[in-house]
Amino acid sequence: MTHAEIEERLALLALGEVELADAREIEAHVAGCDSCRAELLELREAFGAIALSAAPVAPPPELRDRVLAAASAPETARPPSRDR
Amino acid sequence: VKHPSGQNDPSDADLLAAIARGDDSSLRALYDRYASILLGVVLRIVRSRSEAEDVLQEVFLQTWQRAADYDPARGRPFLWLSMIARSRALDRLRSLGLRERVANDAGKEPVADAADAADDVARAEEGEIVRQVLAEIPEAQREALLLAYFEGLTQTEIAARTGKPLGTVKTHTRLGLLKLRDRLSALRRAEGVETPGAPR
Repeated sequence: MTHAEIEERLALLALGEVELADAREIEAHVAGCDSCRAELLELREAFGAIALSAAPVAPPPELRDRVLAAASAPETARPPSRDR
Repeated sequence: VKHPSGQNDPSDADLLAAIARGDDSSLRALYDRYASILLGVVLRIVRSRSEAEDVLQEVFLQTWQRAADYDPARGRPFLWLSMIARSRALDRLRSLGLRERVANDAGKEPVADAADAADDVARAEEGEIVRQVLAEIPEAQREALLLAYFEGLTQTEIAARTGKPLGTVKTHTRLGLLKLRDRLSALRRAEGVETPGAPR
C-alpha cells in the first residue's frame, strides 16, 4: 500500500476495523511514519470523544462507596508497586 | 487535560499515576471527576440503570487494578478510561443477549443536550463540540459513527443494519470521523494557547 492508501485506512483502523492482514501492514507503516502516527492518534481521540455525546448521568452516592470499598477489598487490593 | 477549576488540581495523568501506586484517594478523585460522564456512556450502551451501575463499578475496579497499563503515547487518560467503559459495556450488552434487542436505536438517538452535568469545564466544552459536529454532519455519517461507538457494530454490520452498501458506509464513517477530528484538533490547539480558567 502507498502512503496515501494507508492514510485513507487510518480512520477505520482508529475504530478497530481493518481486517487483520491490512491492519498489520498499516501498523507497520504507522510505526515508522510520524505523520500517520499523529493522524491515527487524533482519529482515535476523535472516535473516543463520541463518548461525550452521551448525556452525563449522576450515579447514586452508594455506588461511590461500593467502588471504593471494592477497591480496598482484599481480593482486589493491589500491592502499591507492580513489577510491570 | 487541564482543570480550569483550580491550578492545584492534579491532571488526569497524575491521578492515574498515583492510582498505579495504590493511592485510593486518587481513585476517589478520578471517580468524582468522571463517574457521571462514564455512567452516561455505559447507560447509553446497556440501556438498563442497574446494569449500567454495575458496569461502572467494574470500570473503576479495572482502573484501580490496571492504571499502570495506561500509556500516554496511545492517547489521553480520558480516551483510556472511556474505552474501558465502552468495551465493558459492550461486553455486558453481548452477555445479556441484549445487542439485538436494542438494535436500531443508537444511530437514531437524538444528540444529547446536557453539557452542564459534566463538572469538568474543558470536558464539557469538548462535549459541546462533539454534539455540535454530530448535529451538523449528514445523518448517514452520524448514524454510522454512533452505531460503531454505542453498539460496537463493525462496518459490515452497519451496512447490514442500514441496508447501505459497505463502501458507502465506510465512506460515511470516515468523513464523519475526519470532521470530528478536525474540530477537536482545532479546539486542542486553541486550548494550548489559552490560560486555564480563561472565559470561554
